[in-house]
Amino acid sequence: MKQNKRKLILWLALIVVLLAASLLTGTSGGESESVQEVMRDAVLHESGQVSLFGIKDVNPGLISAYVVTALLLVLAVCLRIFAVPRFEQVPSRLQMLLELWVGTFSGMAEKNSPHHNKVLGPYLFGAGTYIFVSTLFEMLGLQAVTTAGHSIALPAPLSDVNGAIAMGVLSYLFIMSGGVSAVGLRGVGRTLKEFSLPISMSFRLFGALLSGLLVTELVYFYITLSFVLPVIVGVLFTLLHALIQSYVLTMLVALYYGEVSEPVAPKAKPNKKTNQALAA
Amino acid sequence: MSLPLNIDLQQILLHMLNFVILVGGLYFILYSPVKKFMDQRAARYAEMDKAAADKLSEAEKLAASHQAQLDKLDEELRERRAESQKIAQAAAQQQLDRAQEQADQIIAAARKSAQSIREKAVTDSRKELKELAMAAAEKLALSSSRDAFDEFLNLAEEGKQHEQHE
Repeated sequence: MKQNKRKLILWLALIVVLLAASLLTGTSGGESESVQEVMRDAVLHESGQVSLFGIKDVNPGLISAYVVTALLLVLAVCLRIFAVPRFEQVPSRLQMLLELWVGTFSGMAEKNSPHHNKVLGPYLFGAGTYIFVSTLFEMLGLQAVTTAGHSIALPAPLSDVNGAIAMGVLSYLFIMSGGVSAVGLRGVGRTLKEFSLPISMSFRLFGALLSGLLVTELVYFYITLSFVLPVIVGVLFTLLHALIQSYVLTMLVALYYGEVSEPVAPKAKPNKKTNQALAA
Repeated sequence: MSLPLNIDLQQILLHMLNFVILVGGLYFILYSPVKKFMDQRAARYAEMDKAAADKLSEAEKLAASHQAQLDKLDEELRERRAESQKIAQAAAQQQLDRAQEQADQIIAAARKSAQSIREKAVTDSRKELKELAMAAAEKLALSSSRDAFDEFLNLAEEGKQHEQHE
């Protein structure tokens, strides 16, 4: 009972200290740039560029993309070394999670493209994982230094228009390759029919992620608003957002891939006898 | 090459490169071994399922053959029961006939025995009457002549009537 009281007092004291610190330090944040500048920079990254190993100045989204890839590959290696060899017929929680992770995307591939899905499964797995993790990545708030010397939090890679275009165009090319491998040149025709697909996929991703980023920038630019809208709401919003975006893109790719790689139904040969009988 | 909206072809290609590396890496490191394990397990369960289905069909066949054998045995049992019933009925009839015959013999013997007993009784009674008559005659002869003689005659007549009745 006494211990609980002590914990409660400690917790309340911590809240008061943090609140006071936030209010005291809040006046200086965000005043070097206007909100218009911050939001314009969040969209276009004209001034907030980061140097890529001293080779080239790039948008911070690209740095985020490489960090996300590195994190995912390290995680995958760890799982491959420590978890996969310990797989059993009766799965543990981690094994169930991994099987659910892989099974969701392979199942999606098999369901939407029953004829050709050997490559589709891994692609959906990679794309879904990348979109989900990279959307959540913005919550980490990893810092980078811009070429101008400012400190910025690394954004979600797909909130960079270049990252979204890359994702959309690559998905379109992947769909086309599926069509070509399944039905030859007819697959190219089927894919070109959906010429608006790369643009719609790219800008859907870009718009969805950028809107989240802009709302966050806008809300947390003013320190007082961060008390009105608790952080947990932002976290839940981002989680839901990540799930929806990864589901939408992977589902679209699976659907279009299945459509363009569908085998051509053999044409029924005209029956001469029937035709003659009809003519008679 | 820089385009409006800060679109940069080089950065797009760098994003693509990053994504291709990620997809390939995830495929080889994680997706492939996990999928392989899942496929092997599914194949194992499918095999077990098939083996169970085969065993079930075998068991069903065996049960059907056993049922046929049981039906055959039932039929055989019914036939044998009818046959043994027929035999038992014949044996019972034979016994009945024999018993009837024995009963007839016993009745005939009893009748014969009764007849002989009757005859013996008649003979004995006659003998007794004769003796009585002899005794009475002796008594009369000794006591009086006339009355005794009449009395003797009456007694003798009565004995005759008695004989006729029997």
